[in-house]
Amino acid sequence: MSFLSKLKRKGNSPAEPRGKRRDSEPRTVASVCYARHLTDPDASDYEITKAWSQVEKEMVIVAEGSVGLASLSPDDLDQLDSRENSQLVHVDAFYVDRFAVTNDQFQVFVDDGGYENFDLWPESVLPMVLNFVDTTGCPGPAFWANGRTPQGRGHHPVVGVSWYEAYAFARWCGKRLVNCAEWQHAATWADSGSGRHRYPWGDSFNANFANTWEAKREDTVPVDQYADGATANGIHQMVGNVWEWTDTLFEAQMSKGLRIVTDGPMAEIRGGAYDTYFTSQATCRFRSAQAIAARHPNLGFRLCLTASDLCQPNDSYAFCDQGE
Amino acid sequence: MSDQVMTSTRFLNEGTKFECVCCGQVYFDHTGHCNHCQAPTSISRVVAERDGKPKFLCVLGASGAGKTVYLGMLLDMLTKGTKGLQGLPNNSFSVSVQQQTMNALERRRFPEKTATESDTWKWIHCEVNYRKKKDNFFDIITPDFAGEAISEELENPGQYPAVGHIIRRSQAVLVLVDSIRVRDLGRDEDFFALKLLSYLESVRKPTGKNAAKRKTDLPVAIVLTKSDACPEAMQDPAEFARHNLPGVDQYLNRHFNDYQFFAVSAVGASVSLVDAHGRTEQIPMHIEPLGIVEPFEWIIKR
Ligand SMILES: Nc1nc2c(ncn2[C@@H]2O[C@H](COP(=O)(O)OP(=O)(O)OP(=O)(O)O)[C@@H](O)[C@H]2O)c(=O)[nH]1
Ligand SMILES: [Mg+2]
Repeated sequence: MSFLSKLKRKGNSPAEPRGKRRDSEPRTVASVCYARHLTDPDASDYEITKAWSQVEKEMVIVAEGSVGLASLSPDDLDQLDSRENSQLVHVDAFYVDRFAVTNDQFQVFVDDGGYENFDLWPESVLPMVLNFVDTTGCPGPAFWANGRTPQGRGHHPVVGVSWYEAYAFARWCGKRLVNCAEWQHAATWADSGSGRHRYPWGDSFNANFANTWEAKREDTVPVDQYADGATANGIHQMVGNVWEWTDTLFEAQMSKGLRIVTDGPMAEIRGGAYDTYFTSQATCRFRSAQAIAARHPNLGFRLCLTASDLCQPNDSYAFCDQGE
Repeated sequence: MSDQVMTSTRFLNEGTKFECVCCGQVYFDHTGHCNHCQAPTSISRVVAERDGKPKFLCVLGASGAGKTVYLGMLLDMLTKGTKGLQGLPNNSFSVSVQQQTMNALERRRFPEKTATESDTWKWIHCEVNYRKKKDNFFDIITPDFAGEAISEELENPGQYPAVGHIIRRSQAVLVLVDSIRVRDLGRDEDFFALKLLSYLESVRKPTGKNAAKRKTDLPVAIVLTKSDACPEAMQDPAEFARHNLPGVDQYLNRHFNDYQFFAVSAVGASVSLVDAHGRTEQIPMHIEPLGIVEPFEWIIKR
């Protein structure tokens, strides 16, 4: 099977009608944490094969390549679209979620005792985990109540989660947070032939393709909306709806005696959200940051897997046949 | 902007007299600025040409409270149209406050501090229509005041006549208060806002029967700015004010009939840029307006 044949175009698979999640069956630990089997040396062939079919449905491969990251040096921060001073970074092949993590998926983590499972959290933040509660004081995202997903918002991206909660969820389900270079590579890679667009669909903004301030919805929408704004290979809402946490710390930088100082640790966030006012700040290249303990209503996350880390089943299962 | 509903107008011939919208001085000359309060005559003329009495509001606050950011953001949002409100900037100064603020914010800079000289202030006139109804409109007419000038005027009334005149004529006032300073730097902000309220009250004292016993009718929105960095204010502005702006809270209660607390912010996150001499400048990392239009909506709905 050729490498390219593994790349799915938007909506050409029977498993995924154009732009729609298949989410009718209730989410279970097994259905959310399928990726655990792909890094587990003791997993059976059956488990690995099943996990791969899940990867095929929910994730997209992004081939290795390099990506130009905008400079975060103090004197470049005011550049609207800095291509000149960008820094080229290599990215290995990885699988990335088509959709941001939803409330439904996060509910499984909460119900599975994710907030009480201290193995999932960095030791230094354990005292802080007690403060990661919802509006009623139950463990869960900031805007939930009684530890439950707000009614009718199961398919919306989970928000009100700090970087730590995103990290713990990723560990629990066997994936990891996307780093900032991977995020940008995923958003632009499918267009690399035509030269790295500003938005996943091209260079000019279109309010019908992304949920930003221009869409005037003032709220998140389900993760499968704005399907026309997806990347050519079917990664949805890279721009708009919610900012996404990345696995990249926002480093204080220096240049010519100028230095950037933050109140505390910040992580890089990408993509803009429903309330992002400038279209120039909701692009594939725009880099921003947020305090890692922040739990904002416009900030969620999406996960990925390093392609080279994944087990293949012993029989020659089609999806895993990478060796061409 | 095509669906903007304009109020009906009549045209003033050259040489026809009209009143300064700010201080009431009478003019024949249709160009330049009022020599008493510095308001551009172009604004007065537009208002004089329009049918009906002008209804307008002004924006006050200490230096650094966030007036220029707030006004620029509000004007830009209203011009784009939001929450059934559609704004039409009526003079080039409004456009330049909007443009300079938005250009700066988009490039991750805050606008420059407003100069104290009243002849350099940019006067804003934006006609705002609500739900596209012809007679449902309101103006924002205010210079982008320098906080220091407001401060001077509170200490020595008459120093900056525009402040008093605008307050006298406004249908409502927005008082901007920096929520971070309120939380972190003691009672200073409370005292400043208190002085401002007592000035408002002195200018807008009820008159007539039982005046001494009556409260002022002027609607006042206390707008807690920079709430992105002070989530406590965003969570419950009135509660925050009760605990952190006790003077203001009690004064409003005692002297004003109609007031409300709001929390607003323009940015999603900010960092500091420090130079070799230790000078610090705030950098807005990305712009996400929160609550900006609500105080204005509250006013226009009454
Ligand atoms: N975090 C944050 N800071 C803000 C916001 N708005 C304004 N600021 C900060 O407050 C400073 C002052 O804002 P301005 O709008 O210039 O204040 P002003 O009231 O016009 O001040 P004067 O011109 O001196 O009267 C800015 O330079 C920013 O550092 C906001 O929404 N969030
Ligand atoms: Mg100013």
